[in-house]
Amino acid sequence: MRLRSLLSLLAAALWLAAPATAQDQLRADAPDDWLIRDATVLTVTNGTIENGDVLVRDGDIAQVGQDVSAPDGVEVYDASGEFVMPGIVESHQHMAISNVNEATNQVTAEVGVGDVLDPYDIGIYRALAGGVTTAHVMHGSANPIGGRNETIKLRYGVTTPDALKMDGAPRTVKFALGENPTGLYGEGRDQVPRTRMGVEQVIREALTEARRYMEAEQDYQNGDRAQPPAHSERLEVLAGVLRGDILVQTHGYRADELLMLMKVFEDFGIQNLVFHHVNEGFKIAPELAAFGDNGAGASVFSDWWSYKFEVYYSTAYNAAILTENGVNTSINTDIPGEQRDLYLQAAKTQRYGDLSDTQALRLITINPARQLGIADRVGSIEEGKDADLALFSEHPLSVYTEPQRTYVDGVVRFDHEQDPDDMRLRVDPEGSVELARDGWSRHAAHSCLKGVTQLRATQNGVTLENTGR
Amino acid sequence: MTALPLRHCLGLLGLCLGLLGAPPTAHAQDYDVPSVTDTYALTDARVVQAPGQVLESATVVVRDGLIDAVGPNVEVPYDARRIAADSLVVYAGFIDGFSHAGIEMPDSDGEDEDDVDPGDPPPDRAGIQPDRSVRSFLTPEGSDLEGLRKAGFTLGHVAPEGQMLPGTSAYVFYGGASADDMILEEGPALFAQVETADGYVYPATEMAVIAQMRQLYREAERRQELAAQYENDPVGTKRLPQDPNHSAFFPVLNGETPLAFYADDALSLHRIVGLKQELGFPLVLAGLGESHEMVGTLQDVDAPLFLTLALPEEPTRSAQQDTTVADTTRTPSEYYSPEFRAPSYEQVEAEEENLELRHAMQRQEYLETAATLDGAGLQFGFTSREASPSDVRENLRTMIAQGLPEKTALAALTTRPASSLGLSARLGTVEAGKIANLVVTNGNYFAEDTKVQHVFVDGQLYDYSTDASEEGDVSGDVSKVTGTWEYTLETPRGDRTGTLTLEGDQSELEGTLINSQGDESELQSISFDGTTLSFTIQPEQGPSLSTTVTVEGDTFEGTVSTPGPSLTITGERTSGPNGSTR
Repeated sequence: MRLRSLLSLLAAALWLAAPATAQDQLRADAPDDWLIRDATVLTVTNGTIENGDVLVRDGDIAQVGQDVSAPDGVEVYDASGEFVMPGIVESHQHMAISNVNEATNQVTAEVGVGDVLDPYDIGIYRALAGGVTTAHVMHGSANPIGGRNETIKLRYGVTTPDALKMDGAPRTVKFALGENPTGLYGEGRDQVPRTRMGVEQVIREALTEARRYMEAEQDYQNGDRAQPPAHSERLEVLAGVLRGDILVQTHGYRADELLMLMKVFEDFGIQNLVFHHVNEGFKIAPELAAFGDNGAGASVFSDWWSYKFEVYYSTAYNAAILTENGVNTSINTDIPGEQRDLYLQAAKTQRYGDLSDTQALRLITINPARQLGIADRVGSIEEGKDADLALFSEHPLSVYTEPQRTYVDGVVRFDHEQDPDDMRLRVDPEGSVELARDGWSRHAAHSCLKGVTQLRATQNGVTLENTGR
Repeated sequence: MTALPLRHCLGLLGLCLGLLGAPPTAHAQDYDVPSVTDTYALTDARVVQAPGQVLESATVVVRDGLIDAVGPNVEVPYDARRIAADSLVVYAGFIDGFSHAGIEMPDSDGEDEDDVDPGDPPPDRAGIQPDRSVRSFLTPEGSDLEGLRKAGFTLGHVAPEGQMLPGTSAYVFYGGASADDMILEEGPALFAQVETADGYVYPATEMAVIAQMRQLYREAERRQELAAQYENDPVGTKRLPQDPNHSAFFPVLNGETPLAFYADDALSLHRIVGLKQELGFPLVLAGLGESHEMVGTLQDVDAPLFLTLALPEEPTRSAQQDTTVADTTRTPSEYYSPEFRAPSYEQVEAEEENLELRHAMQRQEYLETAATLDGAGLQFGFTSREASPSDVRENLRTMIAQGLPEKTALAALTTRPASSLGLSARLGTVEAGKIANLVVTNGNYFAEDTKVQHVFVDGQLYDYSTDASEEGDVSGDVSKVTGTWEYTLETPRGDRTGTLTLEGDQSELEGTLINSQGDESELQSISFDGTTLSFTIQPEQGPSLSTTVTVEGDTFEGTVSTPGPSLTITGERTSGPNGSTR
């Protein structure tokens, strides 16, 4: 106890010494001590507690159980009749970033969307309104090896970009297989890769180069080499992949290309691999589960397909089949605007595959948290974890449910009772007034291939368009 | 810095005469005849030596490019051109914290896109040109110089234009006859921007620009370390890689040269500050258009700050169906409700109205940015880069109206930039021994009806007392003067002829003068009261020439005032208002 208070003193001292805290336009002085009382608590990892209480202290979950009493100075929220679940973890999004694709080079591991976070994006608030508290915002899928992604906490209101970052989350990097890279480089520019073989070639070459770079650095440190190798931001990141410090998140649809990359990674001794989209994952679920020491993860859409040739062979049972075969599976939404109803997407696995409530909820909580290496902090309601909580009027897998409150680090960032029309943080002083009408705009849409091609939804269906680059 | 040679002033005169038809023997102007003095005395002026430090009725003597003396009892030298300044105010010449004034960049040579691999373009295509110096792009004819000078700016921190690393900057006089003449100091900073390459090549996104910046910086660090080792003991060591793009960073790594970044939006500013904190380079930050969003961050950054003199344009209501544009006429914060919720989709109008008010409120924050920074204790100068020179004074007045103290505004134009750019010993105040950069006005500079009368740049006088930009007063019947006139100018070297054309109506009378050599110039400040026609001609350099003639029927007679003797001018109308030939 004494040690603990000493530590907290020390932490306070460090806090004071730190540069001015991030500016927060909405919740600068909001409390992060709460007692959420009399709710149905869906812990995801430790069952369900009826009439349960969750005590939040300093933004962390301090106690979970029944009849927890509120210490002095702790605000009480009466959640009777409501459901509390862990804040939803969105494993694949392109919101809250200024750039998506550096689509000029086949390998751009040196760039990172963490350098261009946009805390003003209203999409963050929209995600909060759907119970999302953590998002993995990603580089696009134009290049076989794209840029680094960033795991962010949805602290909507802060305007300092770095204040969105989830400190301590492992670094991740985007890889991409299939038609996006072959279409852009092969068909579009007559460069490698024109085929899936070419994609493999690009990845193998880059990893080989990174291995040599790492060896040269090692030799220099051991005194076996007079000079350090020429500095390369790109190869530093790929060396991090080879060392296992940086988790690879790979866009891919077809079974053959997923098998290909697993083989490549086995050759290079890379253990960390999560596939995204994985529409043909159901064909190779056992192989995915058997990859490396921990298996390869799969982050899938609930029931979206047919928007290009390589995604015709698909099924809504994908998530359930992968789950039942022991693959660590999550559901993502990818497209900004779709990040609001992940709970509904997860519920589809009960219609298509009969997953249990807990299995379905895991797809949007602890499973994506494991894929991102942050399961020790988020993804379930457990003492000691971050107080990221989503409150719903009904069971979150019910089609009648409505999100009520969303807590991020113990701070209420969305409240159904206080949800004014204009939640923007900034308005262009010269621009026109944006009306509160939602919908598709082909210019504003951030697709996974922003800047290269884009999905366009019309009354006649969804098409893939080239932007002419 | 040498003072402007006499020969040059004479050259100006020659140029002026040239406009009206200088004789072919004009090359005589090359003779070094001391007919114009470079000594000036502003007598009995109100002298604002520095913000808050005022001398009433003092004399300022300018000699040989320097301020020779300032004070109430200063004797006027025998060779000085005396400017009676008893109704005038003298300020230190303003310093522009960052601009591209006087720069003419070469047209991009339109290289064949096909020859370039978008993923690996040559450095100049990628916008990596830190080895360029601004000197080679400077020209005294640069478009913005005249406008900025008229607003009172006499020197600026000028950099080449480009993308992520356009080159090294210089401290540049906003006046002079040649690029060499204009440069006070070369290479104070390396200019940088979070700006993608031209055309779709790497870096095509901001995140790639940032990555590229890190790459260059860290590789330069490695090379510098190797260079030190190599210098110590080259034997048995492979020679070092050489390229100017990395070498240009060495003084930055040593902390001698800052990276001067320009950015106006909060996101870019955060990204730049993040890079500085990560890599540790000395920073100069200019632009700051949305800095009211990030006062806390700026308080923690050790960098000279230069705030843009541009303000957001007033939005106008658009007729488009789906786009309403804010109405800023109402007091915004009074009515905007941040709690507003439209109860149903049928009441979108109330929501739209609230959104408009929000818009107006947000705009207000931009107008208050200068006051906000000042209130937070941040010291800043100004940058003209994004401002139209003709808007500068009005925007300063707006900033003052929104809470920026006048004294601070003046400091931000003079002493503060002098100090943060390391120029305090030479510039920023009206003190003997400093470079003669001065602004002379007929009242408080920040008052709306005050006019800039004279500007001294490096001791050279630019006279705006008969300012061409002043609106002329046309009260007489314009048909008496419109049409084409053949004029004859009597010069000491013989008569010169040319054509004068006047057209337009009462509200907008315009004119052109074509001299015997075919050079064309616009007439400015045209006044006509029915008999007296006057106008001025502003040569690209030097004082403006004012002409006043009396019109009688289809002839006129009058004088042209020059810095030397006045010249007689006569004219005859050859065609009338509607092109009718006489």
